[in-house]
Amino acid sequence: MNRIIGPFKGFWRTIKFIHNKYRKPKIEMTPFVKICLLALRLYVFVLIGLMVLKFIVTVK
Amino acid sequence: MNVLAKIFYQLRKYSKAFRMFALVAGPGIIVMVADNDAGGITTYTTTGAQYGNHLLWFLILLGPVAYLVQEMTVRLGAVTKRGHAEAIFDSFGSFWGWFSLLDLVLTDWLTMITEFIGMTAAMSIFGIPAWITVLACWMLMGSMILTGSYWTWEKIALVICIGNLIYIPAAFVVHPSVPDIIRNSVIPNLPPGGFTNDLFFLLMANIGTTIAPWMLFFQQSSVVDKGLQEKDIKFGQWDTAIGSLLTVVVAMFLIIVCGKLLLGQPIESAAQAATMIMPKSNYVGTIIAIGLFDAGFLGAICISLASSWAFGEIFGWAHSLNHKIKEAPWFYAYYFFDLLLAGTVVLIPNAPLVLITLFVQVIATTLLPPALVFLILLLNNKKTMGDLVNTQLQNFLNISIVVVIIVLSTMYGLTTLFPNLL
Amino acid sequence: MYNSSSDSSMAPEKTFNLSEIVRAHVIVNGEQIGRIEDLLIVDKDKFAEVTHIVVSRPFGRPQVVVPWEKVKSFDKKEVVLDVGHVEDFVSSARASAVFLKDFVLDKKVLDSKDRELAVVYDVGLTLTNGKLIAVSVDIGKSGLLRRMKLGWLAKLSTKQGGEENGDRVSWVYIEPLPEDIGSFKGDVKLKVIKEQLSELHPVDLADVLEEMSEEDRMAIFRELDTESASDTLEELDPKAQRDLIASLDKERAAQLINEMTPGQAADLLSVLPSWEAKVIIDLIEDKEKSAKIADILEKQDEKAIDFSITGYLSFPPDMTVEKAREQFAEAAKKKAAITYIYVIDRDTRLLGIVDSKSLLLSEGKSQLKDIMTENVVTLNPSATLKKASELFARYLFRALPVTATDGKIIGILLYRDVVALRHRYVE
Repeated sequence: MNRIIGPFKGFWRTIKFIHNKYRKPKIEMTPFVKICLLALRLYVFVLIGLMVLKFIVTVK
Repeated sequence: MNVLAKIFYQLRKYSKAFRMFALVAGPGIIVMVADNDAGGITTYTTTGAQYGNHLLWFLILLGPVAYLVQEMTVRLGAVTKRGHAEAIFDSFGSFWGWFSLLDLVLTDWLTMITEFIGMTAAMSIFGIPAWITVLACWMLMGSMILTGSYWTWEKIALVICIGNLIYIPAAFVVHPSVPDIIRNSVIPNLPPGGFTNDLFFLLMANIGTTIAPWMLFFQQSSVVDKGLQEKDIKFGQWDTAIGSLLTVVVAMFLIIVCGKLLLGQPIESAAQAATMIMPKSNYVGTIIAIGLFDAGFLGAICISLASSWAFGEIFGWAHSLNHKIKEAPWFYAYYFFDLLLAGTVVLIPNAPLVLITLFVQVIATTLLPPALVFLILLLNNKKTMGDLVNTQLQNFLNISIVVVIIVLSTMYGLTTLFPNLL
Repeated sequence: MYNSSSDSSMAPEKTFNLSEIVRAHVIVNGEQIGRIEDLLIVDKDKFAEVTHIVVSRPFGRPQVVVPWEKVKSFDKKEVVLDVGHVEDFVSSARASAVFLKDFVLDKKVLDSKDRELAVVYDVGLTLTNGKLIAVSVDIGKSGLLRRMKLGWLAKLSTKQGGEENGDRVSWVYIEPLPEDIGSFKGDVKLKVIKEQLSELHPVDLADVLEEMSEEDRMAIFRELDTESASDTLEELDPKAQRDLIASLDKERAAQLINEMTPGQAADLLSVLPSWEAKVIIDLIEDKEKSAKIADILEKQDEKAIDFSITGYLSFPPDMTVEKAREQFAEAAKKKAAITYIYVIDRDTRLLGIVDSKSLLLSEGKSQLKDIMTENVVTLNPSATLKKASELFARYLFRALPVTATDGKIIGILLYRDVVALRHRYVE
């Protein structure tokens, strides 16, 4: 069992390491940058939401 | 200084500039020509068959747009010396980093599949079975990186780029109406029938093949891998400009050929177009098929490299074409993994290939806007870019482009999801 | 390391044109690794020293930058490097380096008033004492023709037109290269104005040369044509003269000395070891001159006549002033003393002297015999230098004629020769 999980554990650790390494955005957070990032986040969530919706509708 | 000396001086200056350009040139031309990939060729044949020469002006308009967007990656790469994926992770944090990386990987896989579809379809016209095409491609793509030098890879890729120009002689064979071409190139006009759903889809498909997220990742990473310095930026810009000129010229000639030979006939893929042309002109049909294979091949190697580089940058693998396979095992492993995956999917009988193509378009819509916005933000960061930040004019042009593309591609994504929306 | 002792056979030096050595094969351990792409230089004002060579390699392999110390042998066709592992020298260190080919070649040459003169068609390099230095820039037509692969045309035209050395400007006259010089930026600026270029004074050059180290001096000296080299050599201090002559080959030294007056020549040779001086004297073409020089050197005779020269101007007495003026320029060419015109009859008897100033001021129609000074102060052949020096001091003449008892002119003695030699007879 360990032989199968082992490499994945390592992989997971790598992901976590990378995640923490880049946790803080380095770009200077001017109001313009903040607004852009917020808008993008909204955009992506809405779009993904719509895709999920479509998927549910199609499956039904 | 006498006239002879003046002439000599100018001549040497330009020939030196050209030699330096020849050293730097590569990433821009390759990425731009590669964006006429299998999907792109299909888009152009459809455009030509459906609207003839009517949309040439739109294609010409896309040239500068592609240049303006891609040129930013040259500056970003030459100044920061790091790839696009790393730049996003570093500047915008883990959330956007993972989002971009996963989205890139997903779109790359799907696009890769379309490339292999194109290649196998093109070769099947000559009676070559799909599995032979796929095997041959794997071997060729593998041998390109065996020397472990970016230079070799780039030179081979440039030769393949020249293959993409094969459509130009084809247009001379079919004797299209030159005044008609010129008129439609210069004067923006809507084709007969006005603005329809079909037209909108086609325009979007043309934008989508000219500006794709993987292109941003690819060019920035290859600029870094090639080792371009700030002093080379001028030449890098020329490289990109010439590339965007080539991509437009190739697209125009293909549209002209298809507009002449296939006008009014419904076309679903470039391979189908080639088959339909065969009875009319064996020569042109063959050219379109070979061009399609060439485009798919170039697209496949570039796209899989784009994600290989991205993974290498983030996971800290050695990630350069200048490494031997032993020195950068993961980098090359991913490159092959991409190729093997896409090739295998194509070989699966009855794979939902049309669905995949559609899916690509939707996924790309979610990635393109963030990628473009990030690019603009990065290029306005004075701390890293110094004097090479976007000028006001560049910002104005690029922000306009980005806004228009975001609006259009959002509409496109939505209408693909909900066809009854428009 | 560049081994100067084992390669001393190739010393004192070789000269190259930059355009000839670019693309030369670069060999490491008997294997060709690439070609010379460029040379990195340090501009040292009077000349520029090559510090590194840039080697371009085939198949897109990154170029290598190798320090000059690693060069084992250097030639137009082939450069052998002594480096263990070539890859260790892969570098793109371009920060403050000056690339001779990239930054200097094909740049505009401006004079000190920023007027565009020409283009750097080539750069003259000299390999001396194991160092490679840039000593001159070629701005002449022959350089242009050579670069356009029409070298044969240049050779043809030089055969007809004599020497072509005036086309090379010594690095001494180049301003320090601009700091922002780059592939497309910066011009090569000269310290002199256009008009001076053909007549840069040997004294200035000598001053500059004296400040330099031996090998650098040698390298620049190499680049001069015979006449200005000879003039410059005279002006150097004795130690510098000795060093320079020692490193020149003897034929060349003899050639330079042949250009001088016997007095100057003897003065110069007197700083050399006597056996060396003898060798050179034997090589001098003009046997009469060499005999005089030998005489002076042996100090058996301090006779003024040994210092005399025959390069003077002479016209017949019935020549009109007008005519004399016309012929003056032509006749004055290659003459050492042109302050005075010696008026002589058919038997070369000295009748009088016209100084060039009065030639200009006199009536055109009058004849030379009308305006000449008849009462000429002359030296007889047996006069000593001391006597001559006294006469010069009294009359302030620039030159004195030496005449035989029958009045025939034998030669003239120049003030400058006597002054330069004063240490000989003052005691």
